[in-house]
Amino acid sequence: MFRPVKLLRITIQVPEEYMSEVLGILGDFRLLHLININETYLGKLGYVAAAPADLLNRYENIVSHANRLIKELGIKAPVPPLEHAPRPEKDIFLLEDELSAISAKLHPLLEEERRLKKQIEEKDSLLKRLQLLAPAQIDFTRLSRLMFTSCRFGVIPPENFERLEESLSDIHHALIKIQTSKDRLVLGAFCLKEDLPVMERALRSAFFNEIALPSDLKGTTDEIIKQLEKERVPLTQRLQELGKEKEQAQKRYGQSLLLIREKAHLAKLLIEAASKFGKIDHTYLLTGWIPVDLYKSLKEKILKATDNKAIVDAVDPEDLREVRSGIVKIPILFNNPLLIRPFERLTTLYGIPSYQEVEPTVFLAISFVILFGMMFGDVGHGLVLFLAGFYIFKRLYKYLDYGIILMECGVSSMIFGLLYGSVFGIEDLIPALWLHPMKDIDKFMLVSASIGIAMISLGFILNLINILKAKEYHKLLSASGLAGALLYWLLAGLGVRYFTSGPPGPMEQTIAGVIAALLLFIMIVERPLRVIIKKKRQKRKSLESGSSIPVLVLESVIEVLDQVLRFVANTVSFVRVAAFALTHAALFLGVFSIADMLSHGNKTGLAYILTLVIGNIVIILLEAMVVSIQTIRLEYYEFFSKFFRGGGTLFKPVVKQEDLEITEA
Amino acid sequence: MLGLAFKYSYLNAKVRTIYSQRLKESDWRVLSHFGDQVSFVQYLKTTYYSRWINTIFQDAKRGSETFERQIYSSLFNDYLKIARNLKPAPKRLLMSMLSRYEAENIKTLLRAKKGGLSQKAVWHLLYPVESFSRINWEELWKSKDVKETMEKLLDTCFGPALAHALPQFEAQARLFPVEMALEIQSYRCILDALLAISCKKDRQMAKNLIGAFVDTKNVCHVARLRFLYRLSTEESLNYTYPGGLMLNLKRLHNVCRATSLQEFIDSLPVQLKEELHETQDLLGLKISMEQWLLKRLKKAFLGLPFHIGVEIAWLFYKELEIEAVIRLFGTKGTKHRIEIQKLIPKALLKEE
Repeated sequence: MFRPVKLLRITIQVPEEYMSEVLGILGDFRLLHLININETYLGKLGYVAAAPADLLNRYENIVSHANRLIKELGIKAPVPPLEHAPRPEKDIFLLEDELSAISAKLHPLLEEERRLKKQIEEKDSLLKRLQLLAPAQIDFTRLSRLMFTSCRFGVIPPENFERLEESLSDIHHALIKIQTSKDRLVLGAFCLKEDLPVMERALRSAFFNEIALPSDLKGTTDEIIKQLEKERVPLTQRLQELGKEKEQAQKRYGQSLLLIREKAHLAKLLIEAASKFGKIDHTYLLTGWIPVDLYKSLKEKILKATDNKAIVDAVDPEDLREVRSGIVKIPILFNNPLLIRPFERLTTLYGIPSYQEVEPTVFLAISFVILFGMMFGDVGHGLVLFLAGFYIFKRLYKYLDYGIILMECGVSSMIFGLLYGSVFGIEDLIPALWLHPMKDIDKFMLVSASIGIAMISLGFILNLINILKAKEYHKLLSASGLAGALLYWLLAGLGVRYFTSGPPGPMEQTIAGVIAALLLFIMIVERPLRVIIKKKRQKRKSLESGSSIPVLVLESVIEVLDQVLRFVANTVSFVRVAAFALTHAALFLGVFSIADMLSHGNKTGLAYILTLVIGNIVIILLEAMVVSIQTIRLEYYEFFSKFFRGGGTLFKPVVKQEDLEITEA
Repeated sequence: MLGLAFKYSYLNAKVRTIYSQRLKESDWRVLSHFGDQVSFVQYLKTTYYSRWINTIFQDAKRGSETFERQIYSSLFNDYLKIARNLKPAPKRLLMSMLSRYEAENIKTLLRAKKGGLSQKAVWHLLYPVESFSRINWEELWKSKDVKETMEKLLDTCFGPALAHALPQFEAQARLFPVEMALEIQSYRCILDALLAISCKKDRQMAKNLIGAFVDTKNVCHVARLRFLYRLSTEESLNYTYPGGLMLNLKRLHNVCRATSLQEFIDSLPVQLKEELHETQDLLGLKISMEQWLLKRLKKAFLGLPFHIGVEIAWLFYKELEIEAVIRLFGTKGTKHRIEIQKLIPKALLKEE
């Protein structure tokens, strides 16, 4: 929990003929972070394996074909979990056979559905066009018998009608308005056959869009419409019947299709991963990071699958020279329990911790929840947040993490609500188990500052652990190391002494002064001394960064003073916890005052209740956001800045869950 | 009356100040004498256009091809300066007058899309409309073809016209109907905005000036359609702009029926005919029509000054001035010597 999962660097050498098996095993394990061969010496020499394009194409075809069938069948069932990852080179035949068998069985059904839909669509389109002409009661049989007259039916912008009429005034014509709406005018245009070119030119230039009708229409518009509607009925009935058959097909083939698609997609990912492998003659070479616990079983499975022809080696990262020199970074795989895991997002938002340092998510999670609850303490509001979080947790899978964070913050708010005796801002409904923020301001501010001291101290301790782990002992004497921590605790102790039992006595003041001076002196001279020693060791004339000793001392003095001021500022910054708790209570005072005014002091009526409801909604939305921002600010700037080093990389499994989820879309 | 005086006194003072800075006869004389474009632009930089063209010819990227469009920034700035001080309805009228330039840019964009040209290749042909246009040009340039571009424009003021022009484009596979639809729609927008003005005096003045402007445009437009593009009578009539003052549909139809330029001029109303009696070609027709319009515009500055007419008159005046500057600029660097009177309407040259 306090450090990432311990990893080993593994190297696997596999003969070509066993590669498919090994890929399948890697797919089963998932938790392998592959190192791209291009980033290694071997890759730079050009020993890079290529993903087999032909195989990849075949899998892509399977995925797209399966997707098409899934879509046409309307399968919406969840994707079934895969027990074993596919063996890409072997399973391709099986998957292709299975898919083509299902496809052949579904083909008549889907083909008929497609044909019916097309027919209905054509009929609907013609119906729509005829409905535009319906008010004119046109008899198409008679129209087709016209010998000397031509006609066109279409739509023009209404504002163009007058100009069109004028432009046709030189020929014999008739324009019949059939239907008018704001943006279109359905029109019938008639002229002598010999004048048709003139009319067509005029119609075209008036932006007349012809309503295309089949030439073999017989009867009046009403008759044709009725006939079309009649013809449509059996088609829709058959379509409904097909719907039932589709449901059965869904039940029969749905799971198989989803499984085929899932296997093909996973196989595709595994094949693509092969481009990260090295290859010398007929041997593949894979390197990567794997959790220590999984190494043994992975080795056993690979050796068994390859008849002991593969070579699987593991090296402790501490033994790798590139790791020690910082050229290669060990990825970090978080190792937190379910309730803490969502907060990993907040940690990585600040930076990715390095493999060697303390993994701070657990501290962040606990302090975040406590600080949030303190600033947003209210049983009712906490319950609302909890329910909102629960809804997200249940319904919005994509935002599951935020749902959990919201639920935890909601519980914390409820607990602090009980301690403050506040339910939806009403403070006399339940007794306060601890204090009322508005009434015990001094006490609350002291508690906030104490929390600040505790968190900053924790930051110092975590930094000391990081210094010791990195064996950077000289940093213990710096302002951010042990010396700085001791000075901070001395100042904090004096502060606590002052607030609990009055100002310290002369003796205590003298001792504290001497210790503080000594610590300040150590912090100031630490860097110049280190430079002098280094210079003497290297016997070089130039100093580090080209600065002289007095300049270095001056820089150190400024740095140390800056650091001491930061101690004070960081601690005082935590008083905002009390301030926001007060704001929370003060906002309610405002809401209740407005509600009282609107109800003329009666504390009843619709206006009173409505004001309280709206006030509560506004407070929940506004304050939840503000408090979250403030809590994150405290975590990042006052706490993380004390110890967090970052610069790590995240562990990326060979097949990520997100990659698999793409197929569900 | 007192209300109108309050409304327009400050704005009129502002417009008259700008009007006083227009190019004078002496400027035109000097400009006409330059033999090359660089000296022409250098001189123009000493006039009130300086702010808008001071980067022209400073480096290879800003050459003569950018001048023609860049100078319009000055006009657009005047539009915005005036519109800021107007009530919503007259303001809408001014903004709809600007939509003509948006239509021009859309036409250029569509041509580029049809010809497979990039924005970079045609950028010098685009009017600098960014200061007032609400159209998302970046998004339009991302469209893969003409159809997609037109579909993206359906929710703009050009939408209704484009909705009807799109099937025409698909059927004919040429941009001409779409371009005509855009032009006509921009004038229709002006007409709609004009009718929405509630103040009778403002509406009347705007109707007279815009009507005269539309007449000028229609005469030149129909002449081009008939004699340059050889379109039929009925097509020419259907492609005319709405909102003319003297040229109603009947008159326009008569004009469209003309088969020669002389017949064309003879079919125009007497007031216009008087101005066009010496006209021999399309350029002459354009200059003479502009001359007729400028006379009407100048009249707007006389008499009772508290109405929107002063502002509209100035904006049209400046538009014609810029067109004349561009025409003159185009002759620089060529061997052809054209008399200034043949390029610039007399009303611009002579101060009355």
